Amino acid sequence: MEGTGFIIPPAFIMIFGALLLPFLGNAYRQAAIIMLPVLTLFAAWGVPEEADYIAHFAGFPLHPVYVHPFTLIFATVFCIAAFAGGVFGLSLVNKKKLSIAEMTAAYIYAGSAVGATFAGDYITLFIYWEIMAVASTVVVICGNSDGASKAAFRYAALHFIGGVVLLAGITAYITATHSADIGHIDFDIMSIFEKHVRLENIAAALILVGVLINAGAPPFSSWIPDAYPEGSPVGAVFLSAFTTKTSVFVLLTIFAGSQILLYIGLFMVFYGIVMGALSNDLRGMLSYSIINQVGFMVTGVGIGTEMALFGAAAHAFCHILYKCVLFMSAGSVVYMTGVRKTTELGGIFRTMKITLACGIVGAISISAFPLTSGFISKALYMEGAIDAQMSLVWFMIAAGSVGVAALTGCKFIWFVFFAKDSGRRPLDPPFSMKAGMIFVAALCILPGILPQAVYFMLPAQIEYDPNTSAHIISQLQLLLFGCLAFFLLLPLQQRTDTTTLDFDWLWRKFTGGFLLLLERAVFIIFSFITGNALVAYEKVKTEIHRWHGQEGVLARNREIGSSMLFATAMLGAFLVFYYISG
Amino acid sequence: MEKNKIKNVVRIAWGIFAIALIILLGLEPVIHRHTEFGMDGKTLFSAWYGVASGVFLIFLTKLVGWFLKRPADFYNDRRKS
Repeated sequence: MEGTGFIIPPAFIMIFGALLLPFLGNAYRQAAIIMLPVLTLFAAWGVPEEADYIAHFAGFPLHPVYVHPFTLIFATVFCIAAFAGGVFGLSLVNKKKLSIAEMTAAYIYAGSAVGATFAGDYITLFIYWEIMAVASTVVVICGNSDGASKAAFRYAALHFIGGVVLLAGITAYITATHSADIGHIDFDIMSIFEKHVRLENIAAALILVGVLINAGAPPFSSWIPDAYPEGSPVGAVFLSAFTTKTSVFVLLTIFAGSQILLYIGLFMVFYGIVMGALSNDLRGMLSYSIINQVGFMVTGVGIGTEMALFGAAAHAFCHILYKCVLFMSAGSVVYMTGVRKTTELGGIFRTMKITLACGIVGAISISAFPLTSGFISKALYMEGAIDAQMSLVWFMIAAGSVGVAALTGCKFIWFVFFAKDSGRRPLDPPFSMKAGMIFVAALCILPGILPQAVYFMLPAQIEYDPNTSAHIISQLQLLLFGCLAFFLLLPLQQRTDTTTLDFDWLWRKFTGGFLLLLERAVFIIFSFITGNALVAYEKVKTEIHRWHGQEGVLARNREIGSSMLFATAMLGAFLVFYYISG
Repeated sequence: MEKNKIKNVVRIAWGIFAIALIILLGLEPVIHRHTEFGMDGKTLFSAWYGVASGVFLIFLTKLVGWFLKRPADFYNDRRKS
């Protein structure tokens, strides 16, 4: 890589700007909250495509500002999400109901995500990766809910484990290739089971696992529904946008076309739908739906055709927008009612009209209804599956789309705003929260009407029009008849005040019990061993004492004549043996 | 009084929903389906596949719920209850 001149990394504007927030007066702070993402977006768009500023660290050339094929689309949506989240939280900052520490951490988190999209080498990527982990942990802690600190601890533990695995992979990769540059790795999972496995393949496997932990791939997925619902109404919006989608960006850049991702992605799709439908926490439901949506993207990366990869990137863009509006809608409900269980909600459509309207826009977008953002992005990787002639994948994605419409979209709106009347009459949230919601809701509709508004950010121009009459009608049939099944079978789906076991049961319950058992087993074995050892030691001590003690056979005092006789006998025996042996 | 009003609203909503479904079924002959994998080109494929997928996933959720649902205080904190 040939270097170009110095360029300020766009991420620095957001990160260092965020660090100034605690020191600014209220008016300047509000201006900074609005302007930092805007300036970062301008800076990101201002980076020339061929830009590659090279810095040196530990003998390796670093590329802190490098434009990958999918950098533009991801950096853009990260800035939009930060802006929307910032606007959403302004009223709460003014009322001092949102700490400056949380807003600072949220912007550092967002800035690091932008930085990761410009990372041209693994060392830079890892630094941003870990800053994201720390900043997002602070955002979770600032949720101040009963379980926030415990959830934050589990969240941090899993992310640091993921970070260690990623670092091990990066170290192995650099050792094997003598380069830290990020590029496509042609990875086949079977290669690590070969007899003479190559270091590059081990490195790739470790990097993949490290990235998949952050992407929320099972069994390391439960940190999302564990931690995100514990965030504050504003914090959860930020949490929903960056970590998993940065992982999708890395998967697109490094592991495009890896077949293992196809299976992982499809599993995530249905796992997210089913587990989300069982969740009683309204933001828990949405958190599982992140896993489901990232599953669609990972599937697109696994399909590997150009159309599928573009679909995964476009879907990440659209997903961040509609997930933001859904989390804003849910956060508004939590903020105004103080309730997070769907069993305690219902009937609030009467007074939370704007929150409902924005929630509906988010729900139809995530369901991929025509003329919404989800429709124009999902269409791309459906086309990708057709290009690759993957019929089973195509049918499964179609079934997954129905599941999202029925069990996420319909369920969220129905059980939170309608269903049985909870008797609560909360108003819509404060002005800035409404403004943030409406802004993102509008952005969910815009790409549905003008798909090129998203497509133009993809690495190559595509001449695909998803808004054909045949496509719109067949998609409406698919989704509305899926919703029909939901409403007809509503009696089967009544809310229950329960929690659902997930993979984290292994380390939250099973491991605790297992360690207790292990401790007892170790104690018993140790007692057995030490008990026997003591008995053996006593025996040895007695024997030694018998032979060498004060009155021992070998230690007794003897007369000098006896000793001389013993020595003469030994010498005589030696002479006899000497002559016999010749 | 309000209960009756809500019941009427629900009836109207169901009516609109039913009309939308009928219109969508009525539009079937108008659209030209692209057959990519055989089955997807059949008449009313999207409609019956939508219903079938929805029903399957709802029953799957019910089944999984039987095995995995626990009391809300299972972990003794307020996570994803």
